[in-house]
Order: sequence, then structure tokens, then C-alpha cells
Amino acid sequence: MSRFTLVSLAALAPAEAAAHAFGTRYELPLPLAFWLAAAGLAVALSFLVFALALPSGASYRQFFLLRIPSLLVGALRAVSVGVFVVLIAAGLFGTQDPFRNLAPAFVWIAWWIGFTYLTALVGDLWSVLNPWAVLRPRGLFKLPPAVGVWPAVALLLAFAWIEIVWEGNAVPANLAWLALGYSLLTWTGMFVFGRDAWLKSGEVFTVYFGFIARLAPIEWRTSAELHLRAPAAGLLDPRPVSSSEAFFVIVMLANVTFDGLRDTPLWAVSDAHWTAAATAGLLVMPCVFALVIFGICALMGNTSAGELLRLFVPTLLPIALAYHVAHYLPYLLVAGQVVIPLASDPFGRGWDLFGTAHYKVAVGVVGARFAWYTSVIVIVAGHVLAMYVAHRLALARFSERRTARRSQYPLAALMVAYTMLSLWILAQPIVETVK
Amino acid sequence: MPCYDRPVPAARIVAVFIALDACLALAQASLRRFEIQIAERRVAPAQRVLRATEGERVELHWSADEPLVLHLHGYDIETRVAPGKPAVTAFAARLTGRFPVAIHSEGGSKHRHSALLHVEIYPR
Repeated sequence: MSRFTLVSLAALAPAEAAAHAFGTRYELPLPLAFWLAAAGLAVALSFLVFALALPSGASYRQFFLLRIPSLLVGALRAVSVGVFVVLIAAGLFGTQDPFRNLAPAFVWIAWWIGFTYLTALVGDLWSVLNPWAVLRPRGLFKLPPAVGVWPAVALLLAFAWIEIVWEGNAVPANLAWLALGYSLLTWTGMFVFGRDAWLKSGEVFTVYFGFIARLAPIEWRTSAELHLRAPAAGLLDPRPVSSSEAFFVIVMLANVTFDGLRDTPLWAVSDAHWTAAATAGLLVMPCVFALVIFGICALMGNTSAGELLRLFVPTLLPIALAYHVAHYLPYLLVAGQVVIPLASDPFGRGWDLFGTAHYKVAVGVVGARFAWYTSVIVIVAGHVLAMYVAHRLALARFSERRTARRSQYPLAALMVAYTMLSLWILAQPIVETVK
Repeated sequence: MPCYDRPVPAARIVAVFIALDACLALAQASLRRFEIQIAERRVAPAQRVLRATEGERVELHWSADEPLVLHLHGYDIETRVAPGKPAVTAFAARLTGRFPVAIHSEGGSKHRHSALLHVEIYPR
């Protein structure tokens, strides 16, 4: 997202604003001392996870928290549909200046980044808020099980391309038309294959937020019943995911890494070739990840590497999310503030609906130290969670404790390497890829 | 309501001294001065990143070969510079981070432009 670079809305004339890209970041690279501290902690705590006598079995404790009244669920849904309609209207009929229109800031900052973090904190809120899920068609045909979540994989790649590569992604009208096109696709899928079947298989955000929600300390059951559990306990599922789900997770991991990698000196691509190179990178990266993870799984034991990959690949999610938080939290807290004035004037017509239209972004809310400390804390925490969950899963999968432990050496090496890669990216001098 | 009969806590005295110290430090904040020449909308490679420390006073002394409007993001300061009319962007470095200086051309051309340079303010 650092590709489009925006700032200081109020200070700029509209023409000037349009000349800027969307979303400037102010972070400084992680200093060496923080880098070393985080790396050292990650490795040391990895040994600690090995040394602990973890309980065998992959069950976890949970406590009933509350049930959201159906009236409130209905109200949340109505608000969500309302926001969706406002965003499309803003995209179609509002100003086309990305700085003064609510749609780009809401979609790319508040929703795509902010809602991901909210999901990791409070669980699968998307299952309630999903505006496409309000229709309930029964379906004409049964979706073959072999389809899996492959439609969602394709859509995730397309979405990542729009987010990372496409130059027109901050233009309000483009976002509105994309949302309308995606609505048509989703409702067609739901009408043909049934609501629930398509949501699980082809509604990319249901699948995406579903995986993110596995990290949350709150589990959402049917009819909005919430249960409290340990963070990331949702990954303690002893049933391997399907091949398509495994690839979906790999695409999630690869996108996060690629998004950071293209800001490093390693990704020195001239402007002329930027689009082609980024498109290729976006497609090649998941394949490289899949091969590396498959190779690691082949070293883990006598069991089929494919099965082990499907069992263990979701355990890498905490590391990816931790890197994402380290990379984007200060950005969310600073650039995300633009939603406050824009909510009062979503179309850029000079309205002041909530009296916040003249709010100015406070750049100083987070400083460099905040960014560095949160980076180190979340990355180490994500690493430890990943190690812990994988270890527990191994104890559930392998009958012998020793086999289970041995299976974890290659995976632990992979996790340490993945964590180091995340830290390395954060410690890189920032390079300007495009203008 | 003030409590005259209570002794002043030691912590408060220390706090006053720390505040005093901070004020003095700001008063004598060291000056970080940069001389920057812009030619064909570029600066010397060594000046693509300018570093300073939080609390310092930063002065960017500009000279340019064409009229330009320079915008320091984050601090949100605009400076106009023209041939024969050097200009200064001066500010107290209170925000930490990495802030771009972008050229805003007169007449508002629509094409995107990259940052002229970045100012990095490191925490103390």
C-alpha cells in the first residue's frame, strides 16, 4: 500500500492532492539494536517452547462469554449494508479526488487493514457484517466438493493485484465499480450454488477473515454465541485443511511478505518495468512459499509431506499477521485518522454531517519508538504463538512424543527464518519504488 | 485547593527539575542546518536523506534553478523557492519519523512525483 502515497488532506488544493498518491508512511526503519533484541528473543523463546512439557492433544479450554441478541445482529447488519451503499454512492457520485472522498480511505485503511486487526482481536465479526450475506438464496446446483476454496484463491490474488500493483486503486469510481462487479459475482454465485456454499468457497473475504479469526481470543459460534479462548487457539484444529485452503493461506503469507519486500533495496526495479515485475512477483511468491514449505514438511517425518503441509500451514499465520501489524499499525493509527473528517463529508461536497469535517490528522500520535517497540513485541509474540500451536498440533498428530518433537525441528527452523525475514524487511532502509 | 501545610513531595521537586532541564535543553537546542541546491528537480545523492534528532532545530536552506513550491509532509510546511531567491524551511523537530519533502509544481500538474528528499527525525 505504500505504493500510493497520501498525506495532509486539508493543506492541499484538490489538484495538488490528486497529484499525490494515497497514504504516506512516516516510519523509520527498525534500528540494529531492536533487530538483534527481537531476533535473539525469538530464538531463545523457541528453545523455551521445546523445553516445556506441553499438554498432548489439541483441545483447548473455552468459556461462554455472551450471546449477541438477534436484534443487535440485525442492527449491525443494517449499519454494514448502509455503509456499503454510502461507499458505492461516494465512489460513483462523490468527488474523484482520493483525498476528499470517503471510499478509498475507508476501503484501504479502515476496512482492509483496520478490520483485519479487529477480526484478530474480537473474532469473526465479518460473518455478521458481511453485506453480501444479507441475501439468502437457496441455490440451484450443488457446488462440487473438489472446487474447495479455489475461487477464493483466484479472487485473493486478483484483490492483492489491485491493492499492490494497480495504479488506479485509489480512484473512488474504480472502487465503486469493482464493488458492484464483485457484488454481481458474489450474488450470482450465491444464487447458483446457494448462499452458504458460495460464502465458504468463493466469497474471498469470508475465507480471509475466517482464517484471521482463528487467531482471535473469541470464538464465534452459530447464532452469534461468543466463547472466550486463548489467542490463536483457533489454530489448534487437528484436522488438516484442504489443499485449496492450504494454498489460500500460502497466498496470504506470500502477499504480506511481498508487500514488504518491494520496499527494500532487494526489489530494485525500474519504473518502466514496475507493473510487470510486481505482477510476476505477486504470482511467483506464493509458488516459492509453497515449494519451501513443502520441502520443510518432507523433512518432518515419515508421513506424507502434503498432509503435513495441510496440517501445519495455518500455524504460520501468527508470524505473518505479526509482521503485518509491525508494518502497518503506525500507518493505520496515523493515516487511518482521515476517516474521521471524511465520514462527515463522504462525497467531498463540503458537508459536515457529524461535525468532524475539519478534523486534522495528528501525525504525532505515534512516534518512532512506539513503532519500534510494538514491532519487536508483536513479532516475538507471533513467533512464540506459532511455535506453541505447531508443537501442540504435532503432539496430537504423532503418537510418540519423540516423533512429534523431531517433526518440529524443520518447522521451527522455517519459523525462525520467516520471523528473521520479517525483521530484516522492517530493518531495511526505505527505498522509493515509484513516484 | 492548595495544601500549604503539607511538605512538597520529593517527586515533585525532581519533576520540576526535569521540566526545567527540558526547557533549557530546548532553549539551547542544537541547530541542524542543511544547504540544499535543487537542480533539475533533483538534489545531490548524499542529500536524498537528511538526518536529525528529536528536539533539534532543523533549517533547510534551499536554492533552486526554477520556481518551486516545496512541501514538507507530516510537519506540513510549504516553502517557495525561486532562482536568485533562496528560502528556508525551519522547524523544531518534535515529531519523530521519516518525512518526505515533495515538489508541488505551480499550476498543479496531475502527474505523480516522488519525494525530492526525506527528512528523518530520530528519537533522542
